[in-house]
Amino acid sequence: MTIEEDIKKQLEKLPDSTILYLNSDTKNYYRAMLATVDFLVNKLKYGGVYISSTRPVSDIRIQMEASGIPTGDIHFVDSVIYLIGGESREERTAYVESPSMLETIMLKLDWQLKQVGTPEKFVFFDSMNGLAVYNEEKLLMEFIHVFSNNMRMQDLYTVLISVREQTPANVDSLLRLNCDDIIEVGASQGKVEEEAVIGGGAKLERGGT
Amino acid sequence: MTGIGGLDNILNGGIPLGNTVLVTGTVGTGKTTIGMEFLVRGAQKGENCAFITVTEPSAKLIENMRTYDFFDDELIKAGKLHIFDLHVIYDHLGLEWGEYEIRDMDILLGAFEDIVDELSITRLVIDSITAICYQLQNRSAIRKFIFDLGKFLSTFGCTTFLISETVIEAGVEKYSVFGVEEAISDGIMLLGNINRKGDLLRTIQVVKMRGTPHSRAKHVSDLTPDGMAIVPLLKWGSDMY
Repeated sequence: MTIEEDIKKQLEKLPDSTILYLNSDTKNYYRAMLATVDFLVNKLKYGGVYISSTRPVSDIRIQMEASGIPTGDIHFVDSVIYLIGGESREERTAYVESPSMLETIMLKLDWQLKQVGTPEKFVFFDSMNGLAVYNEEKLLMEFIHVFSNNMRMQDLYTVLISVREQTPANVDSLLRLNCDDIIEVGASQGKVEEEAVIGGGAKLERGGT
Repeated sequence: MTGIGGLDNILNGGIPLGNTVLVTGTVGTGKTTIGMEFLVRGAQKGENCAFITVTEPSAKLIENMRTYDFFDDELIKAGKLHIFDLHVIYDHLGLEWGEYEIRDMDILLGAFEDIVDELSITRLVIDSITAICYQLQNRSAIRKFIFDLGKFLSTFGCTTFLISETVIEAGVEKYSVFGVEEAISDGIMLLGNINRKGDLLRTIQVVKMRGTPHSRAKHVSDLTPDGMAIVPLLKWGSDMY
């Protein structure tokens, strides 16, 4: 079974709306991201908002389309492009000057969610480890707390992805506490399991709330 | 209700009718935009609204506002939203732009009263009270003008935004340039910026609002095509813990 098939198998066990912590190792990070978005868009037929604090939206859009994920119902929030001085002209994209402007990310998300045309919507936040680069730990933890509760209040299918090796321990702990479900992808921290050699597999856990 | 997303939540329902509110802040914090959105939301509900622009020509103001989806030229054509250029009012009154005597200011106040009375204005924005006061000769003239303005506004029950600039004196931020403007105001909304690692986040804080139990917490705002959007400021991200 490929990592994509394994992730989709885990996703199929989840309810129609959840706060999911997608915790991946570095090696499988993009595959985990693409497999999850593919499931949301192609299987569940959700539209939604993809927030990037890791790579410019133009790159992500190309990757999605190359993987057979139509992006017509996906709106984006890009907090990376201004940092690297790139062009900010992508369709259906709101731009935030920096990943440190966490409240502005929330406001742009609200605006973009209103533009999504599908009845059911998802929010995919890429990534918590990306935010950890630009934000103090206490601020980031406060944000995760506020953000996850806000998404839960709106009953949105929310995915918070993070690269295991680059996620501060306290942030990881809070994500486990605040999210409804957790999918572990690839090798666990501190040990390379035998299955990791063939992609690592995906494991579903229940969150702390 | 102001009709401005998030603001009515902070205000626990909105601004009490007839309140005079000082909307104050530094440049680029969204004072003019929130003033115009306040009027547009009122006009959309059928209220008669007026904007008196002092700092920029009305044509330029309208052009800037057209970048927002909430702004609707039809409200002007329908006579629900009136935009007055103070320089044009001066011309009509036979006044010249410059330093004014108290008599001239009485004439100007009379013109404001006529606008509110004859057009049955229920929402008024003066942008900015600071620029008008700069035309007055001394502090006592400013004080008289402000108090007379406050008196007539309270008589007509018109909900008013007085747009003002903040100033920093001896390291302390003051809500108005002349220190009198807040005395006649029922409410103060402070617009500002927070510098977070070199990035500026727009903020809004309702410091005072008579007649409603409101939040006094600082919030982050964003000027979206739909108008102002507001979320609470993250506590660990504020300028002072």
